[in-house]
Amino acid sequence: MKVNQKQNFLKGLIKENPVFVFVLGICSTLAVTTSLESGIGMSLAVIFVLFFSNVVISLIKNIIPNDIRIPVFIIVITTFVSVVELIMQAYLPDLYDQLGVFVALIAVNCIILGRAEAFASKNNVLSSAIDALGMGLGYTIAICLVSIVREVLGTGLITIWGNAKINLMPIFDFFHVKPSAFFTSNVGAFIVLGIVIGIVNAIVFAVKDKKEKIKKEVKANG
Amino acid sequence: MKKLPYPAYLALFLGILGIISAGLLAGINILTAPAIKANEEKKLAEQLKVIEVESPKILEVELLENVQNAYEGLYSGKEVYVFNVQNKNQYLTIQTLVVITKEDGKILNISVGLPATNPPGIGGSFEGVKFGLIDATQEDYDSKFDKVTGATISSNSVKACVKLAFDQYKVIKEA
Amino acid sequence: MANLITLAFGALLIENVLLYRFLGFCPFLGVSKKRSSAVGMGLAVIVVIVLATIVTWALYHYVLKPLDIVYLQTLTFILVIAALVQMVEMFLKKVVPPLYRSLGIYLPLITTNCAVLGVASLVIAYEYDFLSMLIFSFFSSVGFFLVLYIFSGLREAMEQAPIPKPFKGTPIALIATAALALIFARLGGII
Repeated sequence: MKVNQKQNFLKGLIKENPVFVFVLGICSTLAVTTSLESGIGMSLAVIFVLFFSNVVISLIKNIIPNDIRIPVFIIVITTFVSVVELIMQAYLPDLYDQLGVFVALIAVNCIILGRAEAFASKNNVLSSAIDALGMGLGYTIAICLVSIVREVLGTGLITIWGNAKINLMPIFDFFHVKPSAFFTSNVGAFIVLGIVIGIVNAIVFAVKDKKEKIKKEVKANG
Repeated sequence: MKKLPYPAYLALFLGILGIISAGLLAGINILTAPAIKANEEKKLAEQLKVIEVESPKILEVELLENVQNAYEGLYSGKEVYVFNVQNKNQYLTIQTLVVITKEDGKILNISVGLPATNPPGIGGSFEGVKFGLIDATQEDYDSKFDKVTGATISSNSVKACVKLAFDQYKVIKEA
Repeated sequence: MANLITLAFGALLIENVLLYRFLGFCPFLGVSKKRSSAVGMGLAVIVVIVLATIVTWALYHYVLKPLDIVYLQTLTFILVIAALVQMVEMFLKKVVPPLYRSLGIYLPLITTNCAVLGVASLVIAYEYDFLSMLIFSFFSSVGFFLVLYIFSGLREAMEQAPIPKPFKGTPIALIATAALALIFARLGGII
């Protein structure tokens, strides 16, 4: 069975986006999206863990006794999470302080366990690796989108990394409005995420409806 | 090879997997431990800096208890006294935090902070200067740190602070 | 004493584990659709969180720290939690089978509930002593139960409301949660 790797990769971006479509990993999305910097940092950590755990689980999938497969997945995933924790504490301590307990919580992030169970344990190493990258990138897109919205509306700046910031205050001044800390608060998190998912859904439904319409027309015209 | 009973096989599999994980993590831990330790010390030092500049000062010399733990942590649990000395003269007012070990009267740290309003030309670059880990007795200090800041008045002020802290230390010790 | 009361209040209402710390969201969206399953899930979570936090706290202070193997924290904590959930599962199966059946798949999912590992890790990060740890874990998990219960009532009503298609399900649930979060945040004025 030949797997189309390009599709394998692309599905994680939009059609099967782990945050917007599968609604997984919401806890981390809400907590980490207060600034683009922490969003990017978290995404990198998730991609790292997702990639290596998918690969390792795919490598040993044939020798895992079925009854204990969930504990085995958990041990593999958590090992890589701990590796990320140590590396972050050593070389990116500010990021680690920002993300706090959520780095450790990557270990119970439904996305990673979900992919291990649904994909890596049933597919070869190459497909699993590419699936991981696709899903990871989809997660990154979702997180960065929400982070940008929250940070811009909340503080008028976009923090890319450390001191590299984009100042959007001139746009605010032009419209005579001020950014509100509401959006970086916890209440703002729920509202922004809810609205973003709602809008994404609306777009997806509209595209789907259009595609169906086109299909029907093609059928009707022979 | 005789086949193991199933539960034992499961346990063995998990056990071996666990050992491999723990081993990998132990390895990474050894690699990253020095960097992590360095970061922690940096953080602690920064916290102390904030405490220095903010400490309340009405008395000339006071023994600070609340920051004692922080300093003891920095110097691996050695018991210390932390003195906050304010020295006001016609030119400037400085706050000096002097850390002296309880046991043998060695100066472990001297930190100096200047309030915002100083006369120009004196000690501008002096603000928040730490003389760092000294580990010297008062006699050593007097000779070594003569021209600390290049501005005689301020380094004399600091020396006066240290002397006052030391006098207070002797008073406490003899009490 | 006053410290502990503030801690309890904080964990229960103001720094609510779901609404402020964002922990435990995935099962929240899944289970809160019916009030009965919400109650069962909430109680199970309280038991697991309190037990797990006690065990992991002890594990950290008497094994990991003295032996200087703190880097194994996440791994050992998760294994403890997984084992505990297994035991609770077996206990429920024997003693209260109907509850076991109604919880279904959601019981083993408590293992991956961010709230359990989250509370256990927070207790270490905040360096709580034994009593504070007990209070924090108990009131945090009760806070989770509280929000879960309130929300399941809301959701039962929301099913009937005319909501535009793109917003049905998760988006409207999140926005409703925002309203709840706002109310809870204002409760900070009590203390």
